[in-house]
Amino acid sequence: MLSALVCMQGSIWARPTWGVWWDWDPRLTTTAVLLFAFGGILALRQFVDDPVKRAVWSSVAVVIAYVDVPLVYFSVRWWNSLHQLQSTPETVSRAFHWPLRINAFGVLFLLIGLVELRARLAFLRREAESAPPPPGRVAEALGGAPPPYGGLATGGKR
Amino acid sequence: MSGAPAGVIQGGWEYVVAAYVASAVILLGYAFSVFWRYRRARSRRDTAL
Repeated sequence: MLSALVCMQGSIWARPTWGVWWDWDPRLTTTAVLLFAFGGILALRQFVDDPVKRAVWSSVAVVIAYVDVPLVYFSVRWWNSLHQLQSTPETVSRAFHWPLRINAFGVLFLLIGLVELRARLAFLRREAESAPPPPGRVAEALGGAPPPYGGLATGGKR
Repeated sequence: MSGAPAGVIQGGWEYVVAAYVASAVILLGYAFSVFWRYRRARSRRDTAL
């Protein structure tokens, strides 16, 4: 989501600055590669049903995709780029020092909160996925009648 | 010459406003979506218990 957001924001910024919405510049290209890699990982997670395989495969895919992150960061230094250097207090106008810091920390704290909430959601989903199905559902799946009292042991012979 | 270009773009505030509005809509939309999914998952778990 953040990769898509940064591509959209960069595009809006590029139009008045460069006169184009998009250019196949090293910074933009490596960022687009990252966006597609993350999209691929999300798609992979949707296609794999087994939770263990899904966890292993998506972890490997994330590690591979992460190789692109330093490429994005250093692309403006390593290659001849239309994009300006990384935005730091040394590379932007003095008027933008505080807005840059406030925005950076604001997004950081917002994302910490969202990642925490998303992790709790993932935990609940995993818990639901690994929980045994209710006995009635098992009987239905096997073609028999659901046991009485929802399959709870009633103290009789088992 | 210090090396770094020091030009200032005049105008273009509509792009700044557009970027902030679009970012706020996307971030808030995502935040509500995660919160809503979390509440739904929690109520499902509570019902199952």
